[in-house]
Amino acid sequence: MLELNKVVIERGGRALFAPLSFSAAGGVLVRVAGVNGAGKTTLLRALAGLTSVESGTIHWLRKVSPHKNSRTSIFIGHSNGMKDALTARETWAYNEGVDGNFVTDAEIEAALHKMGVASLIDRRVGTLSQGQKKRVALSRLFSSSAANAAWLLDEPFVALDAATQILLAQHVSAALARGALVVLTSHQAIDIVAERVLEIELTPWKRGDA
Amino acid sequence: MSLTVAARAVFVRELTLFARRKSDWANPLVFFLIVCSLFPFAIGSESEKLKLIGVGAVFVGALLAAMLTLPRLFDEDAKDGSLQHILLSREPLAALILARLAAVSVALALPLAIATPVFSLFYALPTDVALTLAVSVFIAVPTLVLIGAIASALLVSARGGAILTAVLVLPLTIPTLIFGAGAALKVLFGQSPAAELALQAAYLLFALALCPLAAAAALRISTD
Repeated sequence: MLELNKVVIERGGRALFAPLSFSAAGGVLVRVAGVNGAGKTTLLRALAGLTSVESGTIHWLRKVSPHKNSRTSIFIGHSNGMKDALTARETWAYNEGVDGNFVTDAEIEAALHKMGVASLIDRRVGTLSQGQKKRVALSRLFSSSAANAAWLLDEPFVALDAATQILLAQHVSAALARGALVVLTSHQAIDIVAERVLEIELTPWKRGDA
Repeated sequence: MSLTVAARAVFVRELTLFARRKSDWANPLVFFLIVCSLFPFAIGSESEKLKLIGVGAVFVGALLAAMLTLPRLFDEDAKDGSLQHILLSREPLAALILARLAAVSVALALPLAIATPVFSLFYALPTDVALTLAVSVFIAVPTLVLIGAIASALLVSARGGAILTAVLVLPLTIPTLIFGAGAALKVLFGQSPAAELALQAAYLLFALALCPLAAAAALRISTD
């Protein structure tokens, strides 16, 4: 469960959007909309804990998980955060490993396979196309640590081909059906099946506006 | 247990990167060679004078060479987005930074320390002096990396970060410079370098205890 109370985030001394309050439970798809520069990415970074808020509070309330090691959220942003000199396998092992999770080769292969990039597992990331990189980054959503976390996805469909967009949409739908919370920004109209959808529109705001 | 997994992941990744991108450690080495080879031309071939100056020149050369890699300790990761992985990790950031700095120290200090006795030949330094110098370089480089991490973390994605890092870091490395070069000079004059090396190592331990914590705090502030 995610609860925002009058959140204001500033960039360069300027509030990005009007104070934002909403709460969303598991199984809810939160779609964040807004023009370029409205603060969608910054909001997601704040939800992930990468950016601090100027005022207001962000609360993650979660059920006591049976998995001690489950994390609150997984953030996949614009920059894939991968080193050109490392292979897809090494990138994966690092991303999970740095979080304290030990992953087996079988898990990495299975996850990459689901995103259709199993054949790239030992290729260096620098030799992959943008779309392939994105697929490798998104394959993290198939990890066991992602199963119990909320997903913060910043423009996940960019650079993906049509078939992969559908594949990803299905995976997100399945996660929602399982009761995961997904926060998503996207300019594309992709069909995601969700019982409950919360549309958040970020509107520009100046301090002093009523 | 999960902390060991995380620290290991960070350490292995860093060393893999150094192994794949040889310029990361080869460039400092080449720079070190250039600095060491230029002094004798400027000073002349008078061997007594060369010996005295050589100790300091080699040591300063090694420090400046190690300095070259400092600005990109965190900068590159911030640019390609991979910094978020250690920032979002559930493990303590300071411990992960320590693992990372350990890898960087190994990848920098080993080549520089091995090259030190070789480059000391330019200055006709006796073998025992050259070896002492190698030991003190091996202690000094991790000290520099640790201190540099604070500055580098503070200046992540700041423009002109490279020169500012140098300005912030160099004054703090003066103790290790004094003791390190002092140890080799002691040997040159036929005395024991034990005291200087011990003090230099103490300074390294001091940095080891404080710098990862400070760097973690700095990184949180500057990436906010």
